[in-house]
Amino acid sequence: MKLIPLTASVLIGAAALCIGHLNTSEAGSVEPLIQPNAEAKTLKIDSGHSSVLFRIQHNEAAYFYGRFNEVAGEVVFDEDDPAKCSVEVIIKAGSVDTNSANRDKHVLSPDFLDAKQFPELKFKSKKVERDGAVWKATGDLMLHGASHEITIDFEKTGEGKGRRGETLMGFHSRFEIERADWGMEYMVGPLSNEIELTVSLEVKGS
Amino acid sequence: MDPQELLLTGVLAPALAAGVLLGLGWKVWRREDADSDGRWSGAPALAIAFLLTFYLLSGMPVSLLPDSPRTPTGLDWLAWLAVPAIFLLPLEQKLGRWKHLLRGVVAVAMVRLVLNTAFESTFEADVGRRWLAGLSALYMLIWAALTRVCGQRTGASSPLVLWTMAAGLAVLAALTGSAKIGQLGGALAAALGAATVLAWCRPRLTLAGGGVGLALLLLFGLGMNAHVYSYTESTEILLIASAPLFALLADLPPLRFKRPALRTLVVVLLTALPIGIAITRAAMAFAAESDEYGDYYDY
Repeated sequence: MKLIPLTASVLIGAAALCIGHLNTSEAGSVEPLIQPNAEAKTLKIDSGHSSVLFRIQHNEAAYFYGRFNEVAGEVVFDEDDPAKCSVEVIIKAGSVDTNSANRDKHVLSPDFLDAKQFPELKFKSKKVERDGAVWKATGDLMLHGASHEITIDFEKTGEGKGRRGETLMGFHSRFEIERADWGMEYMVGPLSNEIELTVSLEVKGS
Repeated sequence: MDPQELLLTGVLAPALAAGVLLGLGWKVWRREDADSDGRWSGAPALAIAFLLTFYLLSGMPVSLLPDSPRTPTGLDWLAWLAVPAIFLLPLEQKLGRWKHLLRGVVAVAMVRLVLNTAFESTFEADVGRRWLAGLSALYMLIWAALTRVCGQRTGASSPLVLWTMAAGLAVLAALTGSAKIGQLGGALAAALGAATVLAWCRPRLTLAGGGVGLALLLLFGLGMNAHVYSYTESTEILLIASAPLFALLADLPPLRFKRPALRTLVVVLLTALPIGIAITRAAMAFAAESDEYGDYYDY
């Protein structure tokens, strides 16, 4: 009678081993989580996981940082063929956040962004190139009612999967503009002409 | 901003420009009009003083031509409108009953052009029509009231009433978002301050020949920019706009005084009353939104 539990234990153990082996076999046959890009992917910017920061120097002293809380747009990305890539980023000027309600109003007023007349900051690429890990997007930056061509260096920071299995990619860029070129020449001096923008985007798509 | 630079660009330069032009006009036109001096110099003096500060603050206004590198803003349109207004508004004196047509055209053109970006991108068609009709009507109402209060008068009373409005708008705009609109209002106030001092010395000096109309064009244009494109609330803007209507109360018997100095004092106090309320409200709102991160005007 003592053989029955012993036999049962052996069978259960064997079954467990078999299942484990099967799982291992399955894992071995599953495609890798991150695949090489076979074709260009169209991915939407996820505002909730993206950051747009700006930096301006105050009275030639400290760097002051602010942020924009709403960003949208689309990235078409092909790791192997930069010519197929494109970037369009739209930032809501009204979402500026400088940690002070009165200062936000001032930044949004006609003194600076003039957000009620020009509610969006927009970058639309015309050409994307790659130099090793560094990507370069050349396109028009539309801001404050003016448009100028700039080239932005950016890097791909990573790639993963979302909870629903969608593709996630991260891109990061830091670049500088001179605000007077876009007609924001008010208070150049007390506030630097140079503004550094840091854009970290998470994009997602199927 | 450097206080010395602020004083130079926003006060001294426009005051000097207006003072010189008014003085020249006083010399040139003193014999042409039996009732007053400098009848034609008010409009150019105020416009050039305003444009000078505009240039010192932001450079030339953006071109209105199709190949312009930037979309003109409401302030750009206002600056450009001041140029034809120099020649157009003095005609009001010569038009008799037709002056109302001129005022209507100026009102509609000013509202439509200064709010051009709002009409093109923000306002839906029917909303835009309501803004155009409402603001044009308000503009004409204020123009009629200002004409009655100070349009035909000589001496310091007229520029002082307009100075009160310009200085009030300048403070209000600066408190509610835009230091630039505040500085432009301050420049107009400085020019009107120079006119007040000159008129005090030379009581026959007048702003009637287009000066009042031009001051109103700039005041109303700055007010629209402050409300529509910045963060000045409707209540505060309407309080400032109602100032000339309050000034009309000086014609009512209990407040009607024959002595010019007393009458001027009453008119200015009545003008300042709604402006003071507006500034107090704005200052309280500003203080309520201020936080531990300090005064953002500390440039």
